[in-house]
Amino acid sequence: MSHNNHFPTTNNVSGSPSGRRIGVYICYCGGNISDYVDVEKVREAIASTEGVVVAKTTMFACSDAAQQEIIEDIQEYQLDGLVVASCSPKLHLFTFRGAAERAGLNPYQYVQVNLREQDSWAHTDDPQGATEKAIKLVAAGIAKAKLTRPLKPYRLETVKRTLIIGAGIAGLRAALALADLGIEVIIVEKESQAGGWVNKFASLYPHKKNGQQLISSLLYELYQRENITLYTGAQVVEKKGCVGDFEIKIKTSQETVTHNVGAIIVATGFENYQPHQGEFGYGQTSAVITLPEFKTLVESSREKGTLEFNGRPIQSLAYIYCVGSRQPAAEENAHTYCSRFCCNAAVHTALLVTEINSSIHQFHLYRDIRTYGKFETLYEDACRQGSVFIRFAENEPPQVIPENGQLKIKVKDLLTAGEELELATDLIVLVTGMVPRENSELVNLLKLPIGKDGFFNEIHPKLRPVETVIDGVFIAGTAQGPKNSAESTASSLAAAAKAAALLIKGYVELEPLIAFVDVERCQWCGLCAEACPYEAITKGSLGEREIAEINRALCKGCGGCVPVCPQDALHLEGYTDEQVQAMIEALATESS
Amino acid sequence: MAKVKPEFIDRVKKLGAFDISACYSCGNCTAICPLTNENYSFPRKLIRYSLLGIEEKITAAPDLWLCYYCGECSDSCPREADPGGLMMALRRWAIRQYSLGKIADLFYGRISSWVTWVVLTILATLGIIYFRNPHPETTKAVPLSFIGLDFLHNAGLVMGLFIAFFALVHIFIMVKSLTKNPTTPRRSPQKLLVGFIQVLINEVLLQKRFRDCEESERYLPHLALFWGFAGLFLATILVFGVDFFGFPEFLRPVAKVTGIIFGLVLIYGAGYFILLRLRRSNSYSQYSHPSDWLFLIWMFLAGLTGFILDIFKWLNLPWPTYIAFAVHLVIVFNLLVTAPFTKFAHALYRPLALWLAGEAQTSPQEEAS
Repeated sequence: MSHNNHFPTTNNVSGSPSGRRIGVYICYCGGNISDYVDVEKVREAIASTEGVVVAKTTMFACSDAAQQEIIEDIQEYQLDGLVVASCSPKLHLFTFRGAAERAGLNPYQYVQVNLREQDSWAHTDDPQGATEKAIKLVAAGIAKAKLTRPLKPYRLETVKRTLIIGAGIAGLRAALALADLGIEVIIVEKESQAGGWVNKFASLYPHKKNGQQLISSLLYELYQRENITLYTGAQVVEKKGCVGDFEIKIKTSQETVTHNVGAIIVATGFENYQPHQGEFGYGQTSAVITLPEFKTLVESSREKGTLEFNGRPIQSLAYIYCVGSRQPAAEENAHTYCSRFCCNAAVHTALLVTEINSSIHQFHLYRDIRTYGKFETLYEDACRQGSVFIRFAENEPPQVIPENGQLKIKVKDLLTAGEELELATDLIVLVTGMVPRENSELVNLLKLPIGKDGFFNEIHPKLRPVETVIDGVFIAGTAQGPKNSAESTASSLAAAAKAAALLIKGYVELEPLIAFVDVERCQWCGLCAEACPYEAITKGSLGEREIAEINRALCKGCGGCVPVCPQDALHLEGYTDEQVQAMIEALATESS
Repeated sequence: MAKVKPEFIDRVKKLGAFDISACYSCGNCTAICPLTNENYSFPRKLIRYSLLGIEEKITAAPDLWLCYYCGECSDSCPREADPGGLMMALRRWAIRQYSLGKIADLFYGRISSWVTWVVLTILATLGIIYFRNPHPETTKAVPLSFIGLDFLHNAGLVMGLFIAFFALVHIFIMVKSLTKNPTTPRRSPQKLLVGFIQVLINEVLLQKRFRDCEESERYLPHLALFWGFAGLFLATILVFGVDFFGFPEFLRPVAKVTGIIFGLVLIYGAGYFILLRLRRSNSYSQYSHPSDWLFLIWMFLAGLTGFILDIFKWLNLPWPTYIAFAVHLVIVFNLLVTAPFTKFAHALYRPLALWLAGEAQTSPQEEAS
């Protein structure tokens, strides 16, 4: 949308020295920019720059109408370069690249100038200075645009096969989903048996099936399919290649096999938090156990009909929540996150205990109860069936005192006006959370980023929840963070869908803004290969000569290799020396 | 440091409040209670003490007796945990707890209560058969020719001493428990005396706090039940006074008229509550413990048999009069001799708690204004 008050300028110079025809659009951003930058003055200052054919201001460059106008201008004036001076490229780079493409202009001949985050918002106290800076930034953008050339994304054929690491409920479910889409699956499981944690779980909510039944049904399905290979007692020991075509080495007890896969799903799961010696009496007396240990006890007692511990029937027990979760950040290696599944698991276990013997008194010592969603009914049932909930403050956790074979807990109950309570029970169950697995070999192998919490990190928690910064590598289940089995399966199906979307298309398109070698100058010293964090540079040859070779699929265009080359033989597409120099010149030139 | 006793709530649940475990501590009950104030907040606090089994906090709190069970809390409970029902169950439990040697247990067990009542009835009946005059006046109805005045006098004296003894012991036990509580205000003897008079007038004779409950329909019947009984008691004293202590003779017809009026008032009060409990249409009448029924039924029958006795006497039917007299005496015996152990005891505990809590001086509504 061109602003009526601000008449657009078009140069009728056809035979400019550079021979380029650049269109420049300066955005008001509805005041975000124009409140501090005199946008019209910027346009006037750059309108007569050599090579600029169209220079306009616009209220919102990203609006449909403005984009339409840009497209029309590109076609009418036969532009071969486009500059939009607006917001951060993080926001709208792809918007205007798309507009360029729709107009028939190569999208890589588009340059975005960031006038908002890098100028108007940063200099709200100095409109005049901001305007001068804007003129230079736009001039630099024009200088860069004049040196752009048409580029094509790199197209890579993909291998229609997926590697899944981990055969827990997430890995198995993803494998079935992929196999049904006609994609071959290789599953690698470290343990000698598939099934993971869920295989050991007792009766599950709400269908009362136990974990083993769930896993058996998945494995039964798995064996029905011919395009799934399951390696147990195996580990991935080597990974080469890139998205669409990884080369994977798998080591089993007998052999080492190699497979080519197009995508990798990491579903390596979690570890149970292990309380340290003396944490709530753990290790000091056998009557303090963790929730997973207690669940095993409950499961075996269900058939017997009585709940016994060390040969004695249990009459009362206490659960202590948030053990190993929501720890204060000040602690060393603190697990500051909420483990999410444990409230539900503990309350559900309490109901199973009531089923065995309703006269057992159960006390729940908690900080906050988070039986979210439909699990709320579990909490209500537990209350109604006699579970008593006692709330302690974060800074005043319960104290467990083992005393002549009987356990005593001292706790201040916030629900009883901070009353100090003394509680004697036969058993204490520590409701432990999930912690990340020790997986450093795999982490090094896949170069996957780890979050602050120690779990694998996604790109975007909401919009790209199963993708990682490594193209073609996805995360699923509790490897990403605490989840219950339903949530794990959901995330694993999402990862399967993303992997399938990648592989069924048959090819991937990669950004062409990567490094390239000036073969005349290169004398292969290897410095660039050392500098490359992605192992994208290897020694190649040109006839007799040894030169650097860049794997287009692996190169991310970070530019790390460019400055280390003593021969100045490496360049980055989109950021060539000429372009950067031209930009510096434009920035350094005093505006008239 | 309060010791948690998990089995406590199991015991209370036998006396009512069957759903109290559903409580999730939202505090709606306390927010809506018209009688909760800064000093005494209930029922939520008492729910917590009950679920955790902190007995001493419950017996040491006058709070139980400050509640008149209007049922607002139970009606507004999002979990339908019936906090009012718990307060009632706790009062039943407290009556047991304050009784000497926990004799009151006899009246709160499912079977023991019925057995006790039957045994007492048989004992009273046997006593009357034994002490009756086998040759009463048969030409006209003279009740005192059937059961002698001397016997009545002696039996009344023994019973009076029995009741007084237990009442005093129970008062002692309760005061001891309540004064253990640091939150019970300590006041000067002067203030205690003023408080005593205030409680006597406002809470015993007028029952003002009951009227402060949002639901005040029960206020008048309850007052009637109290005054009916108190009036009949007064009438009996007057007759005894004329017979033994030389009270002027004109008091005899006064006592007669008083007896008729208060008898009617008692029948109205007791009848109202019996019907209320039969209909079960309000939260406070949803659940009736055997002790509730027996208390009301004895009260009602005491009034009713007194009337029937008078009617038979007026019709001058000797034997029906004597039988009605005997039945009346058995019922009154049952009612009075068990008073310190049954629901009747609340007539003692409630004013006492109000007095010690110092809550009678100002009603919540006066405080608010």
